[in-house]
Amino acid sequence: MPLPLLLRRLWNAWKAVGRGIGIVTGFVLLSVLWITIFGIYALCRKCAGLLKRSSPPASYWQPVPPDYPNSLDHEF
Amino acid sequence: MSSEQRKPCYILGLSCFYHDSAAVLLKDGEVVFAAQEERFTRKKHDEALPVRAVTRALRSAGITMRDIDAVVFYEKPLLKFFDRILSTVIAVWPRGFLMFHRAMHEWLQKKLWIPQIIRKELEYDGPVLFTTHHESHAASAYYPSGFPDAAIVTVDGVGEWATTTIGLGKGTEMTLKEELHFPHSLGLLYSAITYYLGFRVNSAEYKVMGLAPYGKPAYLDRMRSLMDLKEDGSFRLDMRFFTYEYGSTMTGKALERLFGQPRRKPEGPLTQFHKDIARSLQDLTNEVMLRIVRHAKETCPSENLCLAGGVALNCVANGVIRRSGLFKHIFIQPAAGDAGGALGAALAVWHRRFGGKRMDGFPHVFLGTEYAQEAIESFLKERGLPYETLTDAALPETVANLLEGENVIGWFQGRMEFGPRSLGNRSILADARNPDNWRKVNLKIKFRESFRPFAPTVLEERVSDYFDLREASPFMLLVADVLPHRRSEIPAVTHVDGSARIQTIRRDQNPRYEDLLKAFERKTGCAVIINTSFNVRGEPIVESPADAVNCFLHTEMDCLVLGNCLLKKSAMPDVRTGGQERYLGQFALD
Ligand SMILES: [Fe+2]
Repeated sequence: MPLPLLLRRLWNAWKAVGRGIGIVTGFVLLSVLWITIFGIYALCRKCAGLLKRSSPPASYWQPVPPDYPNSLDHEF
Repeated sequence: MSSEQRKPCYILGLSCFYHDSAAVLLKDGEVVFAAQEERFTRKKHDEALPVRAVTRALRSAGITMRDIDAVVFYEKPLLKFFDRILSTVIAVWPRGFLMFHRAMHEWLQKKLWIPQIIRKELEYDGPVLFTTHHESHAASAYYPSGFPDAAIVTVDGVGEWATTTIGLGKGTEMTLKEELHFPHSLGLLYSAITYYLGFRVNSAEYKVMGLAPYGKPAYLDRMRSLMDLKEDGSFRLDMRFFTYEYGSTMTGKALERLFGQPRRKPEGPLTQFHKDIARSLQDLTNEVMLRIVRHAKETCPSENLCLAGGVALNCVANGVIRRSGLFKHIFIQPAAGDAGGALGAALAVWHRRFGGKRMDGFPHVFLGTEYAQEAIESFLKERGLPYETLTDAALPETVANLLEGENVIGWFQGRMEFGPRSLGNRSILADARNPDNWRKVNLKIKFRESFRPFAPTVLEERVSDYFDLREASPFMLLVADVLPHRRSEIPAVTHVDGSARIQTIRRDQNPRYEDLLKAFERKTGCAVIINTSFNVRGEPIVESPADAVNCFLHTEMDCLVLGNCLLKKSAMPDVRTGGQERYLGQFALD
């Protein structure tokens, strides 16, 4: 049954508000993730990188990782 | 069950959600339909799921999604996201905050749900399979090549991790052996300098290639300092000069300091400096590509070479590879960019999953939509446009007569081309002997930069009479010199350095187009004409009679040939030809 006009407008307005809330909370959550999890891991990696000293290789070609059974079925 | 009753095997290849989305339909390993989505949505480089292209593919084969045995996506989304994207976020941290947000939104909302989106939007409940990005490129070049074996080289911006791969094809087996990884990418280097030169990335790289012959390699040494290039063609970019790993731009202040000038503003004036940068980049690209294919020859010995990936559309580098004589035969996938990934993905599954046999070859790219003569005529009647219907016999002579001199003709025939080039079914044609046609087509019909060169179509049997080329170039993917004594004869297709990006045509590839060239040759003695894509700047190539008529009416094109119907601008009612600005305004400049 179609919603009465007034209810439909209210519903659309609520959806717009919900979208706005989603954008703000999404931004906050992603920022927290970026600072904490990614930040800590990135810092550890950078520290480990400081300790590593390697001379440039003779070639930058890398072997292609071998295929695995039924790889066509998977997204990875 | 007898072989007559056996249901054919249909495989649908898809490339989308990055740029140049496309759909390709295979029937028992043969390509029955291939088209880019942009042609239907009229949005250049459209990246959306190619729903319209799929609909047209199914319609042209007379089947529904229930008949499809497998849908194949041209890359591995989870590998790309969890491995490369997240690793890059960590590697560039604390830079890339905004890039991280944008990427996460894009992936969480869409790209992590690709099988679900495919199933829902295409109303499909069969298997969805995945090949890697560079396997798709490699397969798109090797399987259609017709070679019994070949060294395979793919070079593009980036797939999952790989930016360049080398592999070997033998029979129906194809193995990728070595690769270079993001962010070290020849494609991204080319795009970054394209950006620095004020052109649009993933769109206008071919303009930089066209600009290069106007310059000198004055910055080649500085260009070389952007990478540590090894003798075997492998390299690492010096990432201090690039920002594409973490920013919404490609280059920053460091590159401006290196070259001593700020980035050119889009649509700003083009100076000798910009031309020299383009030339230096092109020379470096040629050098890197030559080293890569030389290494491929050592690693994967074969007389044959297959090339794909966006960088394989660089016909100048392709010409250098051809002239090197390293390989006897070269096949370059005409849809070498990501659109061709849809073809390669489908072919890889046809061989790996279904154990199918190789296709015989890939003689042409006329694999898209077509419109019957009756449909064209009823459309023209509906629009109230005056036209003349020509017989098949009269058509080539009549159009050749019109072509001689200064008329510019829209030429819409048969099935639409797959890939970025118009090769004689959705083309704008003009007389290559008239130097004014270069300016006229650039400025009054295509509304594009005046420096852009035009490509010639030449009868295959006469190619060596005009060009320093002794082989076919059916896909306009090879650059060769115009013979010095011919340069003044065909000035409109001779670039400033005496080169041309050649398309050869042979009867079995496109009889009607060949008939036209033969008629033009009989009339003028010249076997070469200008062939450029049927569109204005920023517009996808025309797909339908309606698109062709719109382009014809809103530009200074003189005639339009739609199937057997001839329309002359002089006969068009004035009211139909107005609104040029509004028409051009629809398309974002590239
Ligand atoms: Fe690609």
